[in-house]
Amino acid sequence: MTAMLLSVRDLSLALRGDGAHTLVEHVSFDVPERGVLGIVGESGCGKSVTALSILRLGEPVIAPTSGSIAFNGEDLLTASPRRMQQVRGGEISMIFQEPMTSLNPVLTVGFQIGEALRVHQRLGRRAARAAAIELLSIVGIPLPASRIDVYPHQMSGGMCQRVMIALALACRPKLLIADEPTTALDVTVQAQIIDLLRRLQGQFGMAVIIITHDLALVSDFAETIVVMYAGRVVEQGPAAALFARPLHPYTERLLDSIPPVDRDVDRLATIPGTVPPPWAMPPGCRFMDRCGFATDRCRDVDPVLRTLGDARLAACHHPRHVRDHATVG
Amino acid sequence: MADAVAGAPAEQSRLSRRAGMLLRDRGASVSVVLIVLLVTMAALAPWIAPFDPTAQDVSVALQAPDWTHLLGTDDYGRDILSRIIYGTRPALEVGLLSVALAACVGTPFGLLAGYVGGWLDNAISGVVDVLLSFPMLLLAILVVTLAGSGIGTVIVAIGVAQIPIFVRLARGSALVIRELDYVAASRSFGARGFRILRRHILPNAFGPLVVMLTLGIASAIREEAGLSFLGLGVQPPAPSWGNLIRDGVANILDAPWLALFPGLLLTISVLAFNLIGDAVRDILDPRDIVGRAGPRVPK
Repeated sequence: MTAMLLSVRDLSLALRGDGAHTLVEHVSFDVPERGVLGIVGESGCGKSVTALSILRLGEPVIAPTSGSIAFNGEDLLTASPRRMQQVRGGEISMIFQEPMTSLNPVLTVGFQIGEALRVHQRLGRRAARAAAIELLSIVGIPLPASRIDVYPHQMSGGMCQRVMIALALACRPKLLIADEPTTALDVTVQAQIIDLLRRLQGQFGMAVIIITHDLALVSDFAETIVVMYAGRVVEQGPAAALFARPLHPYTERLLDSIPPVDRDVDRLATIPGTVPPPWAMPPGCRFMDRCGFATDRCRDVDPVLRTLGDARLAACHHPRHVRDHATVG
Repeated sequence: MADAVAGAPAEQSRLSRRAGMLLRDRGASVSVVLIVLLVTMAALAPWIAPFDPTAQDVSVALQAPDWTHLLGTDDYGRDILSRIIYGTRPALEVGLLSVALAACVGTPFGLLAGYVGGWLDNAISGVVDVLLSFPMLLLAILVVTLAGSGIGTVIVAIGVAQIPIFVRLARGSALVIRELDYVAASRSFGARGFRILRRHILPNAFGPLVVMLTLGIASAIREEAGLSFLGLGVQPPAPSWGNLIRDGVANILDAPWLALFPGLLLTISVLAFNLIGDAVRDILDPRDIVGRAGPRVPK
C-alpha cells in the first residue's frame, strides 16, 4: 500500500460552547499522492466543515473532539499555529464556493496573488509580479499581463475563480481543497473550471479534494468518492463502482436526482425531507425518514460503516446492489 | 465583454477620475473651492491681511464696514477682516491636527478591538463607552482645565474627545470585514493576523473612516470656536473665530458685524467640510468607478 498524502482518521467535530452539538462524527478517508477524492452530499451534511478543519480554519468556533489528520505523517491537529501558517497556502491550498467575494475588492488581483508569493516564498515585488502573470496564464486567463492590474469586480465569476485557483497554486501545494468550486458559476463555466482543475492536477502533480453536491460534476474526475450524510460517511468507494452500483440508498437517490440527458422527464427526481439538524439526530439510521427501504431495525440500530466488497464501504442495514456486486466481484 | 470602460491603464487615471467625480458633485465642488480659499487665507495671512490683527487704534474703534476697514473694527479699533483672516489659522490647525490625532490613535484600537474581539474588545469598548457618555465639549473642557489653555492643549483636548468616534467606527467595520470570505480565503493561504489587519481590514474600512475624517474636521473647527468662545481656547489678543464671536456678542446691538462675519465664516467652513464628507463617501467605493467590465481586449 502506498503512503497516503492525507489521512483523516475518526475525525469528529463539534460546535464549541455547549459542546452538545456534534457536527461531524467519526469521519475517515485517505488521499494518496496525486489522488483525487470527491466528497459529496447535500447542504448541511458536514462536507465543508470537514474540509475547513483540515486547515484548522473553523477554530475556535468549530473544534475537533477526536481523531487525527495526518498530512505526510504529520498530525495537523496538534501542529503549532506557526506551522499551520506554513501549511496553509504553502502545502495545502483551498478554493471556495463564492469566487466573487473570496477576493479582496480593494486590491488588484495581481497584488493578491503576489502577496501569497511574498508570504511563503519571500519573493521580491518584481519577481512576485512576474510569477503572478505566469500563474494567470497557467489558469487560462487571456492577456494576463494586463489583467493583473484589474480589480476583482471587473471580472466575471468564472474569471475570479480562475484567479482564486491561481492564488491557490501560487506556492505549488501538494494538496488542493476545492470547496464547491463551481456552485456559484454558470453551467458552462462549471465544466471549464473542472477541466482546468483536472489539467492542473496533472500538470502540478498535486492531490485534489473536491467537495460538491453535484455528483455528475465529479463523476469522471474523482477517483474515490466519499458520500456524507448528516455528519457521517455513509458510503465510500472507487468512483466507477460507486456510480455503477451504489450501495447506500442515499447515494442511489443522489444519483437518481441527476437530470438525465437522453430523455425528457416531467419532474426531476428529488429526495423528500431534509437532513436532520445536529441537535435532533434520530437514534437509529439518520437517513431512515427519507429512505424507501427502512425497517424497524433501521429505527432502532444505528448502522455502522462496514466493508462490502473490494474497497467499498457503506453504513446501511439493507445495502443496495450487493448481490450484483458479489457476483461481479 | 470589453465594451464599457478600459480598466487596465488605471494607475494614473484612477486619481483623476475620482477627482472628476468629486467636481461633478455641485455641493462638493463648491466646498472644494471654499476649502482651497480657506487654506490659502491661512497660509498667506501675513500678506493678504490689510492690517496687523492685534494692532489697536482706539480712534477708529467700533467702526462700521467701510473702504478702509472692509468688515469694520472692534472696540479696540482692530481690523475685523485681518482678525478673521488670522483666525483661519487656529481653526484649520485645530481642525486638521486634532482629527489626525484622533484617527491615528482611535483607528488602530478600533480595528484591534473588532478583529481580535474577546477581552481586548471588552476593555477597549468599555473605555470608549465611558468617554462617549460625556459630551464632547465637556471632555475637551476637562482636558483644557487640567492642562491649561493654548492651541496645543486645544488640539489634544479635541483630538482626545474625538478618539471614541474613530474607535467605534473602526471596530464596527472590522467586525463586519473579519467575517467576509476574502479574509477566510486569505487565512487559508497562510496570512497572519497583522497582515490581514493591514491588507484586508484597514483598506476596506477606509471609506467610512475617511468620511468621518472630513466630518471630524468640521466638528473640530466648531469645537475650537466653542472653546475659544468660552475663553478656554486661543487666548486674546490672538484672534480666533470663537473669541471674535464672543467679543462681538458684547456689542451685538451696536456693532452686529463684529459677531456676524466670523460666525458666517465659521458656518461656511463647517458646511464645506461636511459636504465634502458626503461626496467623498460616494466616491471612495472602488466598485463605483468602473462598471463590470474587463480591460479592453483586442479581438
